[in-house]
Amino acid sequence: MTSYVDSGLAAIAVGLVALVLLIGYRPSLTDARGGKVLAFLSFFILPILVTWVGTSEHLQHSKSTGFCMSCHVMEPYGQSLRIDDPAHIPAVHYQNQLISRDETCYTCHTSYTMFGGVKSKLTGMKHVYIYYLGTVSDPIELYEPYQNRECLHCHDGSRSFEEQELHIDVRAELASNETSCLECHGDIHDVHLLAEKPMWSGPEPGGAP
Amino acid sequence: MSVEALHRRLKLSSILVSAGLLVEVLTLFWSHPLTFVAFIVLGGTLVGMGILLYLYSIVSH
Repeated sequence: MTSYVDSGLAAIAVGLVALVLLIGYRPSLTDARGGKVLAFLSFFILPILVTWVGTSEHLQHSKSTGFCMSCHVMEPYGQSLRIDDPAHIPAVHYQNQLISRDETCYTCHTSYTMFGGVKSKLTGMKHVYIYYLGTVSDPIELYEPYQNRECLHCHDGSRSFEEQELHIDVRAELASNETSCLECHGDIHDVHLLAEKPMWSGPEPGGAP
Repeated sequence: MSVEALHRRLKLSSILVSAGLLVEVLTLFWSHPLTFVAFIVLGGTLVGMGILLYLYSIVSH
């Protein structure tokens, strides 16, 4: 996950640690007015800033494919992105870079609503809880049915989608979620078929930071 | 509060804030499902306790 922001933040935090320890080791430095200001900055303002930016970085990192793949139970689902079959929807999106390979899981599994991002983070915490303290279902199931909204977030308005006759016929039903996209495009994460399917030799999901 | 007590609390506060910041830095370079939990629960708590102790020290001095 190392980025320039992470490295910069780490450098600032380490410098701050040195400063805080110096003041702790020589607290008499705070007797002078300048020392008081320095202590206020290094004990109060800067730690809050570092924690704030660090939280933001962690939330950003939690969207990465590598983060999702860090749970072992997700490995087969990551492998399913390399299935060499044009009918396998997640694989087609991943292999053709229709979605960012760095945020593959998040792009399709977040809710595109006002608080969808927040909901995804809370759901992520629930995943961690179940992973360590609960029982992971096999196969893994979504908490609620997949919404067409997530597909239409990108496909709505695109020529290849709008000009497809079958889509024109059910356009209203797709928009209202009466007909699920998955009724026709149902090849999704076929983890039970991994051994039988040919695999694409491209980059491993989550393999590169 | 005496100056010695203030200095003692500043020393403890510096240890808490430093430990918290170090935990936060380490989690930035650790790829694991628990990194964010460690960042907030461990790092955030230590930093928070250090800050509160520092603030308490200066207002009670």
